Amino acid sequence: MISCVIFTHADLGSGLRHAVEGMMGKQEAFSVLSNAGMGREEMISALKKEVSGQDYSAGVVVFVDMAGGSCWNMAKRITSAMREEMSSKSNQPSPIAIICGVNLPMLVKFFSLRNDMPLDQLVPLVRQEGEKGIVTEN
Amino acid sequence: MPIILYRVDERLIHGQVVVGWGISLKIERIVLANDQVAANPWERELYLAGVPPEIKATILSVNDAATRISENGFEGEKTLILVDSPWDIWKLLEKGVKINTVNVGGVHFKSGRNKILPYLYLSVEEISVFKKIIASGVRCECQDMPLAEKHDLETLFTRLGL
Repeated sequence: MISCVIFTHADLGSGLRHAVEGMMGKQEAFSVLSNAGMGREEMISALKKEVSGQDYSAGVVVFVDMAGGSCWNMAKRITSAMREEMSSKSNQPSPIAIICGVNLPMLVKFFSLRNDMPLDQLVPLVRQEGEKGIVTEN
Repeated sequence: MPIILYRVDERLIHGQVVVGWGISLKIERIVLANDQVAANPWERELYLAGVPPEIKATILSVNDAATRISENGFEGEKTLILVDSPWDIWKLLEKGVKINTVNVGGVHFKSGRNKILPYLYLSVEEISVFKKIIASGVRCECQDMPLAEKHDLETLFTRLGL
């Protein structure tokens, strides 16, 4: 099972969790973290703790809310450091992915398919679903 | 007035700065003055990626930033100067940069820091640098977001007995 960490501003992550679990039931290997009140070092150590607490056998997706924001910035730092650490140990592809711009349709897709395919196939499908979820009328 | 805000914010370029201050002050350029970021291409790229296309961004060491500011290098552009600590403000002042007011934003909790405001925690060393800055005639205004209440840091220090 591919694990999930949502890292966002304020209570957005816990709201998304509440919403997605309200539709799909309680999900395992799922943690949520807010950047509220945290400096750079605190964000890094909290996110590192969440990410490294996950089961890597199938991979981890870190969902963040906004490109250029601090959650995204810290996620990039940590995953890049962890990727280096891991690729020095094996030649396997990276088991960590970042998906930015998290929304509810993305999460529904992620939790529906995360047992059915490897990380590198799941990530583009989740992205596509998130983009399809943006619909405008004017 | 080319430079319209000096801000101390530990997170440097992030949502609150770009979306909050950038938009409300119609900032045209963000200057990130930080020696570590300036010296590391990966860090530079990471922070530059956080800047929307309508805002220009420059990353400089604190010394280079001081030189550019003193040469009026940002004349004609509404510029926000961003540092992550009071030490870098002090360095700018020592290099002869004239600053009237510093906006003090997010410096967050970590052990050894005292709570000043919900978004401002300072160590004894950080407090003493801010006191030097204030004593040199610079007003330090704590305000995390543009519409939030402003608090004068000197008054807060007095009130908290720091």
